[in-house]
Amino acid sequence: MAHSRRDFLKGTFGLLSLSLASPTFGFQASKVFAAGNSPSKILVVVEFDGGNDGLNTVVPYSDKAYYAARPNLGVPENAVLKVSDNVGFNPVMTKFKALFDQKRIAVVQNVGYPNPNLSHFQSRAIFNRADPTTREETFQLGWLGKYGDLKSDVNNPLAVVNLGDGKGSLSLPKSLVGEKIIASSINSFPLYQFQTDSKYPTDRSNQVSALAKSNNAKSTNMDFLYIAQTGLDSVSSSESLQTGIKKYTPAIKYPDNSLGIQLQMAAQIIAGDLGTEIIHVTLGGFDTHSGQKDDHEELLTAVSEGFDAFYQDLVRLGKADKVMVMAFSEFGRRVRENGSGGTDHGTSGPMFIMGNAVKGGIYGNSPNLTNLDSAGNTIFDIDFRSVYGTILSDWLQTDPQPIIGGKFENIGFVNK
Amino acid sequence: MCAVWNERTVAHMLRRVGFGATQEDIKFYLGMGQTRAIDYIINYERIDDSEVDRQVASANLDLSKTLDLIYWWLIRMTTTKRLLQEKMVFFWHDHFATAIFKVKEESLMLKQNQLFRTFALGNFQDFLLEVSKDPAMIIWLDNFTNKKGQPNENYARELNELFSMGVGNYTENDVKEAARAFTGWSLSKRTKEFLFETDQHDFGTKTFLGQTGSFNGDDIVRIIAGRQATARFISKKLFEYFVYENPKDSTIDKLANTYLSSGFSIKAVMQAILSSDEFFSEKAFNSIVKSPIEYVVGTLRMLGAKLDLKTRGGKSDLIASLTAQGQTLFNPPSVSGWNGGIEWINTSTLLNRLNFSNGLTSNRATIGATIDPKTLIGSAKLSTSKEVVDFFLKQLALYDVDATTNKNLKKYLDQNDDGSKGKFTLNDTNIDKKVRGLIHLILSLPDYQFN
Repeated sequence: MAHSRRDFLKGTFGLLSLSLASPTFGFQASKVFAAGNSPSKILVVVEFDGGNDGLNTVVPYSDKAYYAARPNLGVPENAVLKVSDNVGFNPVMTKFKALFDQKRIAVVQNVGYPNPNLSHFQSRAIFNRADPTTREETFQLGWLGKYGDLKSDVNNPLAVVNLGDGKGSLSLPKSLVGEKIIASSINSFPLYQFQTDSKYPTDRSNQVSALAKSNNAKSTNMDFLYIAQTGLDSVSSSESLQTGIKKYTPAIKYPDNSLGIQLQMAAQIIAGDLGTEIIHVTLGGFDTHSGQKDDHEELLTAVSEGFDAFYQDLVRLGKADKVMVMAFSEFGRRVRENGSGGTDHGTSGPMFIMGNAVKGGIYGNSPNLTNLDSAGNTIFDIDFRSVYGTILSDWLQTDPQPIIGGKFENIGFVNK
Repeated sequence: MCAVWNERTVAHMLRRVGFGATQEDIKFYLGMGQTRAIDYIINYERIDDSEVDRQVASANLDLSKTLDLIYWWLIRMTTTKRLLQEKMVFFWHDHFATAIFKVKEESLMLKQNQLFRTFALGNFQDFLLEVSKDPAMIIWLDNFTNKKGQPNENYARELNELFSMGVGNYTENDVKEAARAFTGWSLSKRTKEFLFETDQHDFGTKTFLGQTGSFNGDDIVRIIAGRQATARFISKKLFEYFVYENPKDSTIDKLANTYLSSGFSIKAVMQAILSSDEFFSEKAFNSIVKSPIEYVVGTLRMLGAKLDLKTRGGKSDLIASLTAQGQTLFNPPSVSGWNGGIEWINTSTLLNRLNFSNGLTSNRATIGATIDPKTLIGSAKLSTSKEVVDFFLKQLALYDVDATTNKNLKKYLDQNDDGSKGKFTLNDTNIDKKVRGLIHLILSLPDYQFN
């Protein structure tokens, strides 16, 4: 068969080439476990959803303009966890600073893109697709989906994984949309199984095989094919997952919050050697328009403790050399605090990269707070595609150009 | 208007204007003829819907609890005969997406939901104004903190971006000026009613979308409601929700003209949409991925399911399943609502759909609702596996399942436990085992995920 069923999104293949007889798409999980299938480099992407206030995360304590713009929200200089003559972390980020001091964390300052969009939805789409000209409402591939199409095992539904904390709903981030790759979305390990009537376990295999057949049905409708393939992936990936995660025994205490839950799930998947190469986790709640101080500190505490627990766990599992973590947010926040003890939507902000392969340190300068754009927002120095490009070329060892659509400066935060 | 008025056409119409298509409804609307059916759907206030009130009353709900509030709406959706009214409320809940995770007051979410019901097919300018004064919205988008000299842009931005015109039809400065116009639009701490705080309002001159004046929020709403961009944005959103995605510009132009010439009447736009050739075109059939609510409520309606209203556990099981499928009523993920479309489907949400159906059909996994296949079969004369498959495909209003899938379902019924071919007979044992299994499989078909 010249075409895989996974070419469904391309629309370039003969639509009727999907064959019922195709043996590839039964619910066999075995292939996923093939020895040596475990990728040597894993990327964990953490999305800070809502627009993280970068200025109160990496505080420019030496800048008078910072305190002038933030009479109430400014972090007092004597509380800042200083890491240079100019900047330091928010006081709640003690464990994060310890990792930074051990050179495990790179901070890339003042990251953004030209003509910033202050809409959450548009700016998130821009970051997720590595394309500042994208429109959220149009269909377009995500940067990690493109990577997966090029480099991952597209027949392994666990090659790219999207995690949730099991408490709410889980949708697929636009970054993971590929042509061939379908990321598996896993919101809760116990619920990630295809259930059949418990009273008649002997009929289960008949039901599973009938389901497989109905998901191999022919169609000219791309959405139909996508749903059918997702149906097949659901069952095969759930069977692989349930076996793989048994390899993990918890030993490190993760914080009991959304990020902690997801990062522990990530560690469990990594420990399971399931061939997973890309993992996406999301921490929501960063849209701090009002009453920011407490909410933001709680979030940064979650980040600090979560990253620390995850790193210690990877070390314990012998996987720390194989994993890099990248954290981003769709934008930073307005320099001047608003009247509600919060901050409105802004532009550029810091990105964070963690791992044994990271050359720890601060890259780039704090934003210039006296030269703002007409809306009172910072003007970016480093394009976010430079950060993606550095990770793609130096960590995932692939040519960034087809993925990020151009040449961008290598920032050099990865030990090669 | 459509060429053929038959069961398949009517089922399509009912799936779009309501939740699912029961055999009873298909028969009822089919007999009416197309013109009268659409008139009946649109002018729903004439329909006696007292059964909803009876069901709600007998459910004995405590509407100060989120779970019961969600059930209040679910009961309406599963019981109502005013199909379009409830569908429009559902549409507006997604459009003016407001979530209890921040509002934190059930009574205000209920009040907003009633506002959506009142204005379901109302005048859009009046509607926007009421939404701007809605207490839940004022909390949701922080407008109670939007004060003279200290503007908070949150509401003004989303009003422009998501509620009316869409990105690209206003500038950042328009957002700032609109925010100033909405300063002082707050709510009373005591009564939680809308309150205009005169001393917090910025009475200065503003320039918004090229017009200048000492605008208040009413003026901003008036300017927005009359814009061509709003006419197109709202028309397109309604069309894409009820018909299909990516319509031609000329289709939207026509609807936008209807919106403007009718003085911003949503009813007029909906009348035009439901009467259009596009609505009944083949392109529209089975083209929209069901939302979890459409999947669950439609299934409950078509299978005559009984909700478990007595136990708190039963209620939370169903809501938990809906959440895991991707949709919790009164709790959209963000102000832009649910992304919907093909984004409803990923391995996690799909497994949760299928597992909801297993819980429902087997009556054993707890899901807060049960069905009785024997009652459904009733007096229908069924004996062969083919007859049983055809009966349940029809029961679930699936008229386009291909022959191979049909054959595979039949094969499942005929199969022995070891997978070998046996012979299906319709008896109590097989109804409990195989027929329940069959319904689960039908609800799991890719075909069934479409409206």
